[in-house]
Amino acid sequence: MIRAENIAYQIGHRRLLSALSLELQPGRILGIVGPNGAGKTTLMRLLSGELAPSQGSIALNGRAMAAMDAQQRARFRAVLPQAESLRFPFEVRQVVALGRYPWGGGASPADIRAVDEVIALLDLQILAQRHYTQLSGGERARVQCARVLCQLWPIGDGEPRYLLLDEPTANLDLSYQHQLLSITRECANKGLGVAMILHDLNHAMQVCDEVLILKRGEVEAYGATREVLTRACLKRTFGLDFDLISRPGSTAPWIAAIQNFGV
Amino acid sequence: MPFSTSAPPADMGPDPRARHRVRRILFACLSALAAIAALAGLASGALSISASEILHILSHPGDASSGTGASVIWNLRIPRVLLALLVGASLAASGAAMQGLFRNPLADPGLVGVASGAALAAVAAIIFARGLALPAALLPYLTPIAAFTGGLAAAGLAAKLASFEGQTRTATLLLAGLAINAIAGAGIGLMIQLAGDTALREATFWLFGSLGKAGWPELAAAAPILILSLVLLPRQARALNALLLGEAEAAHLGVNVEALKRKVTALIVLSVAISVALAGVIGFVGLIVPHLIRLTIGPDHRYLIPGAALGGAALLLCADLAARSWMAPAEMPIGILTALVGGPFFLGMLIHFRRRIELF
Repeated sequence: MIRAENIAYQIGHRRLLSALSLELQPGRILGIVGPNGAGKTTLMRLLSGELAPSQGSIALNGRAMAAMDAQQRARFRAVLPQAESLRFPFEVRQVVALGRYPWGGGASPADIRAVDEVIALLDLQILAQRHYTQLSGGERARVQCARVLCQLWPIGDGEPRYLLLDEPTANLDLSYQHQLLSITRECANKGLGVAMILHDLNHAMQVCDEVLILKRGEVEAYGATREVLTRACLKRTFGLDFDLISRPGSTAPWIAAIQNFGV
Repeated sequence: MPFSTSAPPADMGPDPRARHRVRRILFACLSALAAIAALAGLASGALSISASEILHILSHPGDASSGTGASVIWNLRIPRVLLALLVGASLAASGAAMQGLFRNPLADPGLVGVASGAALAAVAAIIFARGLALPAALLPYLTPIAAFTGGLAAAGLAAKLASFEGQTRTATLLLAGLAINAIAGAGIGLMIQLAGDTALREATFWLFGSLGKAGWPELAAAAPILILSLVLLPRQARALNALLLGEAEAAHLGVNVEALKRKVTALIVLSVAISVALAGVIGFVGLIVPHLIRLTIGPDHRYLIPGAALGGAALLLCADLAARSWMAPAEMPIGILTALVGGPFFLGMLIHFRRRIELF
């Protein structure tokens, strides 16, 4: 479990995140939603160990995050940042294999199997020998996703591992959004703990077990998805009216923002 | 799922085995080129020596005093060839590592101010040494030592300016290097204004580079450090690969990014400062060679750094051969030659990259 206790983060006197506590359990998906500038990415960077909280503490599988070195952390959690910045012409397969860095490199049979399996899982075989720099934004996002999955591969082995995703669906078309979310759900069902920042509230509604809503650095709501994503709470968070529409064949309602542009 | 395929399609491009083959061919070609250029370097010059004579002389190392040929080979040409080999390899390997560190294919060891700081100190030593009452035995070492100190000082200053709360800011480091280069350039210009004719000619050596000044003693002092750095740099190859993803991404993968930056910068600065101390400023080797190797075998530093070292050695051996024979018996400063080829090449790269990537 990744457990954050009473953590806050500030730069100088500017408070980016006020004290909050959360638990990321193995096998569960935590959605982090909220308006722009709410502190979602800051929270993600704290949970990954990239930033140290100004107060409070974070523990990964019972060990203090601050006491672990970079490699120890890398073996238990992988992070997919919002934007990628690789500008060197690695082949796609090589990029995915970079995910094996904390395990010693990419040359051992286990590494090669991990790379092969993840590439197959994300349907990247057709791109495997292409140069990363020649790919479209959506293709790059899928390759980066494969890289972070590869870091934690095989899922469900040994001590629990965690995946932190910052807007993983941002560059993907609808069918790949669906693919990514269903792979994430599958991995969680095998024991992976997942925290992801999402802008699409329906994605949060459909795949997340818990949701945390941030607004201006403070927790607006935190709990089971259905209890958090309510009309009242969403209105408080985004300042818009919402309808929750029940759909035949699904227990999760559809969230629709009621927007009137006077067209 | 969309686009799911069981068999790989025909247009997947080269398979990994082809990549291995390209690597092997490149390494073999560069080694052969370096060996041939080294042999030609031993053979050619004011006194032409045949290949069979060279082999005889090399296989009888005890006879250094026995003939003119043997003495020329042992005292002049072997140190020169070794110097070309080591300096070329060090500059190019440093360039490859630095481009990885800065995540920018246009980075060059000259950018952080090492080369110009070294040149400024060397020129100052040449011009003001006469005014100092130093023991004659010290004089030959004064300039290389000044160059080394100057290079370290300039790089240290740039690094100091660029580090803030334990983090090194890459763009600031480049800008600081740029400013140091400008200041050093002004200083050199000013001193040349003040200098007499002999000092001026000697200063030109530092500004344009030559492999003809260093002999066995300098080589013996510098070689262990250059070789150590050539051995240690490739050990950071996997971490540098991860760093290409971005600093945060590399840290997430378990790379200690700050330690990596410190280690690689220290190795680069040592190599470049020593290279400048031995052979003056030889530009563009650290830029062009890694770039060409990357074009051929890709950006994987595990192969890029050794490949660049081989390529740099081969290039500098060839360039020295050209520098010696072009206007023989006069010698062309080798830095002029590398700049003559490297300048247009760099412009070509800028044009090529203009459409493809953001430089910073």
